[in-house]
Amino acid sequence: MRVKAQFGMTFNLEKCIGCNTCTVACKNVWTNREGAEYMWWNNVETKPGIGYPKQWENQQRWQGGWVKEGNRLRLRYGGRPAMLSPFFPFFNPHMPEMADYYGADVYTFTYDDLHTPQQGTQQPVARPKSMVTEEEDIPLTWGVNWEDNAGGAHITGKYDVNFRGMSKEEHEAYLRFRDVFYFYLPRICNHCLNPACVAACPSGAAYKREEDGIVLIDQQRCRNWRYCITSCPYKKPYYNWRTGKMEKCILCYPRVEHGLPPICFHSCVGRIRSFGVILYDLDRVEEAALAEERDLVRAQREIILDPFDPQVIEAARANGIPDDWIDAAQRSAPYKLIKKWELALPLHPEFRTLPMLWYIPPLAPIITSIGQCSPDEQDIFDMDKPSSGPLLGLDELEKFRIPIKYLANLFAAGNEDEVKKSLLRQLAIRHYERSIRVDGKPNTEVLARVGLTEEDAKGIVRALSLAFYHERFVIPTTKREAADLSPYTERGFAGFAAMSPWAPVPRRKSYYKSRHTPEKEYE
Amino acid sequence: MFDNFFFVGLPYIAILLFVLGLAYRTLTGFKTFYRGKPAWGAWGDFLWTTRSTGFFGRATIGPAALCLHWGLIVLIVAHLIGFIGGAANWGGWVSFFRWTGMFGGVLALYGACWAFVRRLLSAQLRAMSTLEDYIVLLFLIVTLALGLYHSIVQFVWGVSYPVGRWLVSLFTLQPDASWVATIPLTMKLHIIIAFTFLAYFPFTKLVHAFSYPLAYITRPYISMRRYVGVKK
Repeated sequence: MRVKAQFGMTFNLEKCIGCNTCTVACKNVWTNREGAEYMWWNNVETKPGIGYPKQWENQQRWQGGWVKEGNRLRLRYGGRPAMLSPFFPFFNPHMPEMADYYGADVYTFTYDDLHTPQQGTQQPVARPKSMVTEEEDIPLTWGVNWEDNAGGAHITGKYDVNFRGMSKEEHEAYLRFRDVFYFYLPRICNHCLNPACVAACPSGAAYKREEDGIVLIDQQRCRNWRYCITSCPYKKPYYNWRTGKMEKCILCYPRVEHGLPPICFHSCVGRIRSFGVILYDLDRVEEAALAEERDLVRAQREIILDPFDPQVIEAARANGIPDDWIDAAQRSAPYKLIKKWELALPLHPEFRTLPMLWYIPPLAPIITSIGQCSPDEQDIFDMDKPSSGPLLGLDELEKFRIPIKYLANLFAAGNEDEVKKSLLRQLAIRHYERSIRVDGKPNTEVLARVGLTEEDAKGIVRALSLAFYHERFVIPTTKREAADLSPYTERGFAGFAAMSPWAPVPRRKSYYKSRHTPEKEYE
Repeated sequence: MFDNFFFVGLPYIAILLFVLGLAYRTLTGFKTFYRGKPAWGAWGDFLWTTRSTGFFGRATIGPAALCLHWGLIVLIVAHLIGFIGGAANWGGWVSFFRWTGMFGGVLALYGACWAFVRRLLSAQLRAMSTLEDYIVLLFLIVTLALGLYHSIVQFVWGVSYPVGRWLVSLFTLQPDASWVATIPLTMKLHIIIAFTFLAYFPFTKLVHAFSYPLAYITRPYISMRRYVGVKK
């Protein structure tokens, strides 16, 4: 058992209102630069739909992720020998281009025209303007939030691969206005345990940090092979056309290292996101990635270790994980939501990258028609009406407006049982809470039916609806003091590359010899 | 005098710049030898990239990109064979160079021309292009055109014999420009421009030709690093 720490994340889709505050925060902090205009390290998609870039989930088209070949994993785009062969590098058709991200070109609007209007016969308008060529009045045919609130779902929904396993009629029926459903899917880089982008990077620029599992791309070492875009099944690395380097979500590591959550987590107004340390067994990652499709969710949960288990704690200490990290793992909200209560599910586990961003599938709404299960005034004001009404019974999952099959294809590689378990547990919690409020006595029978204890239920209610900032985000700081580089000699120099201790500029490396850590060269 | 400058001085300067420039670009990719091991880092060669244009229209560059790169590979191999054959007076090798070079030249010229035209036609590519991108393509186009003009239009073949011996004289450090004094002007221009290009090469994005990922052959799929590479 080799215990590693990793930052895990959960998004509660039940509560996501698709406001894109996360997206805007991320954009303003990281990607409002030339060459990065079209990058959305965080974006919120509406499902059903084909997303950003177009059809990113369709691996027939983009060749991302891993495939299981017998007892081995292979990158779908090509194994190592294929990628090293001279036939591969000069042209790669499986790579999104600007047209797949933004139709014609990434655009802004001529807002200046609003500030300095000429006198005219009509109101001044802001016209679309390309952010690459500065050409105006370019056609707008796609964008990061093109499908917001199921706009155009009747067209793009036909290409949504998550309807697989349904008949054509059923698929089309779900896209009709009367039966349409939608929910939001906020996406950032999943910082996978088995990242295909890292595996596909020939130059070794993409890497996973050992301490916290953040996946980064070394800008100096990147040689622009762009295999990471092809191989990442979530299409989260982006090509910076100005610098010619690949960029991706950095999980705001400058913030995380100092104990603050990433900016998209921090800014989430719905408080749907939680962030914390997860301990996992590095030796069993491959085993989990090789599980049968049906077992993928279970296998991925299994390699997550119980931070209260004395054996795990001992192994973690032996592997150099500091005590405050173990403590953080014990208080971690994602650990409970993923492993303890089994509410959260990974996005597309069938890509076998073992994503560490887990989603709690959305519960609402239910199918209603006049006179049947439709909430009327009576229901809203008269809470003594438990048998029918807005609250779904545990055996009425078929009344879900969102087909379970769809959620299963999205979050459990088609295994409906995993999705049902999560949904039923959320439903049971509602019944339990309702029984406390309405009946005045807690209904533990409904909890027992879904395998939860009353303590679990209280914890879930707390975690999903009441949790404070410090409960949702338990983030131990990075052990900078253990690094060889001392902040003391770095002050005034950090960020100036030419003044790093290794640069040719002569620089004092030590003011005095360190008594505490004599092996350090820089103090 | 001119011959001595262009066929003795220039080649040496170009080769020296090529080798030293490449070495410099490669070594700046390393921070230093830290604790006895080469360490990549902060002031590495950020500009070592292909600055690919496929992002703004992959379909329109596909065949041209393949033709350009494969054409150049064929040309490099064919030139080597031709020069060796010429120096050693092996007619078969020189003939091989003639036909393969023609094939590779046509491929590469098509690729380079289309890449250049595409850069001019597409507004997005004009926006992303730097002067270097155009210069590099123009160098390629002129060199390829001169070579092809010489071999396809003028039907003057067999230049490999004197050029091969001249190259041998260069590499044995007994440079003798008189070997190439009598070759046609188009061929002289071809050689001069090619060597100028060679000198310019390491200071452009073309260094990407030297980024074959040797480490990828042996390294595990998932690379992991401890932060900033300074922890023991």
